[in-house]
Amino acid sequence: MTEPRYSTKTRAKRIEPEYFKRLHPFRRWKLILSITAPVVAAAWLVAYAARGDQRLYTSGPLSTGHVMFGTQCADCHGSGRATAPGGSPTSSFFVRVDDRACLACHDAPVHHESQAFEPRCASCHVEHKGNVVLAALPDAQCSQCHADLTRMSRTPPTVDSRIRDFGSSHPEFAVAVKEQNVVRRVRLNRGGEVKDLKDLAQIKLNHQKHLKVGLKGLDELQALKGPRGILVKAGGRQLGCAFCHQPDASRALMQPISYIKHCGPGCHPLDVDARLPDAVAPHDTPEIVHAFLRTLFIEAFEQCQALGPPGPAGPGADKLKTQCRDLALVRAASEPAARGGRPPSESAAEAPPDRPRGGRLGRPVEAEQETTDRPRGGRLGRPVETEQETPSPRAPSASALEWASAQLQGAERVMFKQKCEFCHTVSSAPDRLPRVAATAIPARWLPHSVFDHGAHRPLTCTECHKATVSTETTDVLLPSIAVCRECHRQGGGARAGCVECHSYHDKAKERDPSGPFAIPQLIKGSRSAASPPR
Amino acid sequence: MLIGADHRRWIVGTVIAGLLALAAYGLYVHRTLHGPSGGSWPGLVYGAAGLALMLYAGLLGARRKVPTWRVGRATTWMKGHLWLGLLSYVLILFHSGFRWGGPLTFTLMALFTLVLLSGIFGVVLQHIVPRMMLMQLPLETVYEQIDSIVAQLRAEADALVTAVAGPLPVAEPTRGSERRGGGGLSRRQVLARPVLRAAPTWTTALPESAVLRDAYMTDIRPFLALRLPRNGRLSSHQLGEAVFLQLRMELPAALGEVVGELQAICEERRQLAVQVHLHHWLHGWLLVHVPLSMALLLLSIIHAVVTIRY
Repeated sequence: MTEPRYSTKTRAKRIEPEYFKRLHPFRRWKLILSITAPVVAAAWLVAYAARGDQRLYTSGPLSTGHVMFGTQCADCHGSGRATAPGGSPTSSFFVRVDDRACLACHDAPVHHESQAFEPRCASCHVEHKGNVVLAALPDAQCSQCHADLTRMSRTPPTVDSRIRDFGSSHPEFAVAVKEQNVVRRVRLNRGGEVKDLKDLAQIKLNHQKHLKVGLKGLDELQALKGPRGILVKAGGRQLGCAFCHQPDASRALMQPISYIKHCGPGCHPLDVDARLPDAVAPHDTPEIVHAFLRTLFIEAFEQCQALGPPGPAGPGADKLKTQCRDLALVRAASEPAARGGRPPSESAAEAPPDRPRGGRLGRPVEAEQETTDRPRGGRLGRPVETEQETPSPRAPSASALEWASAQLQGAERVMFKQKCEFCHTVSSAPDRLPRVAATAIPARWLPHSVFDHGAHRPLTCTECHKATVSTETTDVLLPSIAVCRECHRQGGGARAGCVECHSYHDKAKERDPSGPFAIPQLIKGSRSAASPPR
Repeated sequence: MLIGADHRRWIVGTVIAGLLALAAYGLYVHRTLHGPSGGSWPGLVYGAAGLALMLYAGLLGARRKVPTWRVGRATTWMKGHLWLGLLSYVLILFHSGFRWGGPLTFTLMALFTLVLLSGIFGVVLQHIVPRMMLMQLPLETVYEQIDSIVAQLRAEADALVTAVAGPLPVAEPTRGSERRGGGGLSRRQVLARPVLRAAPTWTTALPESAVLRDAYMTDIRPFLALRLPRNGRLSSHQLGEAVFLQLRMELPAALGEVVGELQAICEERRQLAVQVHLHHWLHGWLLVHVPLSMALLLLSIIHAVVTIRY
């Protein structure tokens, strides 16, 4: 170590006596920065205030649907501007979001008439948490009542009274069954009767047979309808589930099964008689089918009556002659045409061969789609009056009626017994047309919840619906809740929250979509229009 | 300030308070349906407590400005600043529910984090740097006087070399640029040891002193400037030794004491340079800590007022 060059006294002499009175650059910079930093921070706040933008003070990002209201806190806090003309809330501090501010735009139908209390909007839908779905609530929000409905409901509960979550306490799914002529909903796990449960469907469909690999006629079906829904397996073609079960526009629910689109005419044609190869009956009520057949035979009779020896030549005429011969109407064809027959030019033989006679087959496909949730198949049970046929402009001759009636008995027997009853439940009685029971396939099996088929499209259908072993349509193919729980479980599984399937507010009771605001009011936040009462 | 045994009560108190706050927070989170929120009553309590502790920690600067205030000892204030400031960060985290929130709250948390980290950095430096200075800088002096002392050292060296090698080709320092030392030092008076028994003049200078003069002007005097040359050989203790050893070999023995004195001056200059460097480390974090604390306190108060409104 170097020898000290100075004594302590000498060293002290080197220090200026009042050095501390001058600000050293280091301390000067500390002072300058200590003033600058708060000034910059204040300037930041002032710049936002000058623009009238209060987004700076938000406690978190607004949800996607409310982003446009983020610039003014008072748009929502308080009662919104709906009831405060000056735009300022009446209270100075702790100005909460009043329900009126929400209801100015939204509608929130009551959850249940017997609910014990009505929570504030903001107590469930918590804002300022970012791009969250405000309706995605935690289970605890639901279970505060549903965990003990007997206590929390003003009336005896109609659903299971102790549900805390999906994983452990949610009851088994239920289906509507008919027992002793009483329709009621029965849970799938009821006392070991799962296998015996039969739903209300009134149609004879064998899923197992339809899903057979190498099913007869699939090549023709693919040629007719295209490859959609038809699978190619090692043993041949197979009808895929999606051939018949097609999702609706929302991709959540399945469209009703339609005879036109899914059953015929490619697979189950309603051909009337081998002697009338082009005649296909409409898929409609027995009354309509009866009227169609009657008209068909009368027309055939009259066409054959109109055929004379010098009749028209060509393939159409030859075909008609063959048909008449098959119908044993050749002899009658030699009779004069003036007995009431139609001119050959109006004959069905000259109609475009691909146009179905019944008319229904030519309708646009959309006409078949049902949009309501009522059970399908009601069309078959509707009164005849709803489909009054236009009266024929000319009455058929007595001999035509006589001949047609004779043909009609056999043709209807074949049609109703072999064709209709092949799929439908048909009840017959003497001296009247048979009655076809409505198919009664529920449009929605779980009416208190929403199942999204689209969200489950990675799964093969038969993973949940055991259709490959089902031989009757009444077999309950609704999967058990245990199947859902294989994926939807706490800790690593798919989401299992109540709101995944259930909706709190009954959307069916919502008001019209027309709201009270004009665009400038909504943009500027001056929602001075009166808020709708709750 | 060193964290020693006298901090034990503060540490225990802070840990207990933090654990109690944590337990209450756990209970609060467990019971709330939508997770913690700064606007809930528990959140507001955490926020108010945290802000109060932040304000207390911020008052340390005011306490230092007015040391005559009879509001507790400075060391107590410093301990409170350390530990309650740390506790306030925990409480504010509970207040925020570990979310950054909107632009203002995000800025607040970022500022608070920077203030906390810079403070911790400062505490760590306080445990390291002063010990280094004690060991390595026996010639340490008042930081603010380093420039003045360097000027004195240069004047001493100039006088020494001028005495044995004649006038130096340097400009006379102006009067205003020289600061007077304490104890009544007259202008240009130096405090060097009387190494020259009889003050020689340049007329009696040895012919070999030209070597000393060249070395002084080339290496030594630039090293005694207020701003050190970046690659000066004398900045390193070992290189400096080598330079002066070479000088001793080239000069006659009569100038040995002068060379020794110049070497001592350079060593002191080197230590002062190291002191400046360490001082910047020791106190430089305050340039971040204090200004950001000021901004943090201002924004926190505004945040409190506005958010209580909504």
